[in-house]
Amino acid sequence: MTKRVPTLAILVLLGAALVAGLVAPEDAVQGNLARLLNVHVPAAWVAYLAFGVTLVASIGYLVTKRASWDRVAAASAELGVVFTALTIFLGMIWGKPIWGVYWTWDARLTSTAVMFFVYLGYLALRRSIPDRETRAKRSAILGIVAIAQLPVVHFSVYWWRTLHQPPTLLRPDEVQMDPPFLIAFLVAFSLFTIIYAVLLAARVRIEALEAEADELIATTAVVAGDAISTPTGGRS
Amino acid sequence: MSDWGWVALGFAATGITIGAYLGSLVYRRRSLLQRIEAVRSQDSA
Repeated sequence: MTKRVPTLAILVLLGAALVAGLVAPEDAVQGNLARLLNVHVPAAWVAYLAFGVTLVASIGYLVTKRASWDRVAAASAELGVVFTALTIFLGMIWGKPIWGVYWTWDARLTSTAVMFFVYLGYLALRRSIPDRETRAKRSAILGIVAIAQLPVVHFSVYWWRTLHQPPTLLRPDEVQMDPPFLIAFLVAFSLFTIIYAVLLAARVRIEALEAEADELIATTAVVAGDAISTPTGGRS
Repeated sequence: MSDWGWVALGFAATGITIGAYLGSLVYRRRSLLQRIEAVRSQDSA
């Protein structure tokens, strides 16, 4: 019997992350709107983490040829796409009241959108190749190449003149945040990371189930094919 | 919209996105188990 998806655990963690964002103090400049950053930034962090895991798992697959690495890469890329979409959406609804627009062709926003579509392409590539080994090999190559966008997204705020502010936590110099804000941020970061890990484990198990189902169907088809072809083979 | 309205929208979007993804995992797992079970029972019949 395969393990169930830990629905309750994820919902509790999610609830706690949202509460952490709500109990954080009000910002002197942005007011309550700054609370949106307690979900926007951790979602962006999880997207980075997910694509980083896809990179490691892709290298792992190419080195060892073990299917388990390919499953981790696929599962993590899917989660990365979900969290990137969430990051973009949360940024848009923060941007409207603060910047006055939902979207602008700023370097950070544009590079994030490009990254989203490239990993969406990664998922499409996986669906377009029926052979498991070919799919795993080609996806692993794309999973490695696609990571080149991650530093572009992260450092775009330094490399180009952008509307988007520089990083708050993942920055080369000192973190400039008051402790109450920092604590709320770190709690949300930790909870989002745990949510990612739990979802990843559940998604990897589904990948394994998919492989099992495909193998079972292929075996049954071969057996059925033998049963049909045997009499014909006897006559010829 | 008020500041709290935007905050509520953002938090609701977060909950709905993660909740919907979670729901999709539960659904996919259930369908796969049913598919495996159907193939096995067909095979043994």
